[in-house]
Amino acid sequence: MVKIVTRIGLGFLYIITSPIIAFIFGLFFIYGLLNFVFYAFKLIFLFFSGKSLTSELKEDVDARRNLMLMSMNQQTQHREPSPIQKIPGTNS
Amino acid sequence: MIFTGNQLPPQTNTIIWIILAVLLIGFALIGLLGWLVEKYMAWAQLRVDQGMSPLILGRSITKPDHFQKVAFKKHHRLAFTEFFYPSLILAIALTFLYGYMAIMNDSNLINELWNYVPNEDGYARGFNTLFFIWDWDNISTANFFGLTLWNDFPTLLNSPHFYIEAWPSYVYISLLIMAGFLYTLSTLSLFARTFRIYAMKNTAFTIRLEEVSKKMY
Repeated sequence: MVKIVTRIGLGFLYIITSPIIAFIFGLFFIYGLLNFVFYAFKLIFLFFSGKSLTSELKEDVDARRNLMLMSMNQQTQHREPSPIQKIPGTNS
Repeated sequence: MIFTGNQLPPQTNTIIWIILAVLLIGFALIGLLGWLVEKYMAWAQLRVDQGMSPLILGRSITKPDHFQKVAFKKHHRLAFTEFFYPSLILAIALTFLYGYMAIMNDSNLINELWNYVPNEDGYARGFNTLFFIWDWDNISTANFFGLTLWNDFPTLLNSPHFYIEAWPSYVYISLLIMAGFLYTLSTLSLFARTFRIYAMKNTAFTIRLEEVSKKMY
């Protein structure tokens, strides 16, 4: 019941603030369209220079390499030394 | 005649209850629509988390400004792909309409896209033939406590029926509606992700003492 009343109240609030919502929505729509036009031209430029828009960023490559190194380090730290590597006479 | 307290005529009471019920149902429906938009935007925000969390875990990003720069780069690329499909549908719709008008030598179609009134050949060619159309402009009204309110149902001008001659309008307007819907979703996700990036810019690198103590003890 409380949820329904809240929704009705929010519905009233949305109607009151609808001009502001529509204005902000319009601004973001224009932003999206300008972004689309910009990237469409960029895509043409990238196509002729042999690159792609879907290529990985430098940060993505770095992060993947770092994560791989971190997991390798963890594996080597947790690995038990093999019996051959154990020095006779020591407990470790 | 002076009305006091509960002395309103029963008909007036009924009208007030009906108006209140319609208003409440309208607010509830808009509230429900708002809830759906909130859910969609929350889902759209997850794309920022999906794209940026490996970079923070992999320590390739360690500063808020760097986070914002990379996040916006990914965000703009994603927005481009999201805006691509509705733009493609819009381009197809416009090509279809102008192509049809050019091939059939029928430039009048653009003026009849919404028409529901049959022409001299006995058919209508607009998208509105598929809907009920009421005459809201000439509806009868009554004065109610200084307010001019409708007091009757409007005259029905058109009931839904399918004209095969109107197929170009059906195709064109359906494509426009589809493009509009996708543009709306794309704009909402653009809005949601932009705010997520600004919100996470600083908090993603903030160490909270409560979390540190939880890990320690």
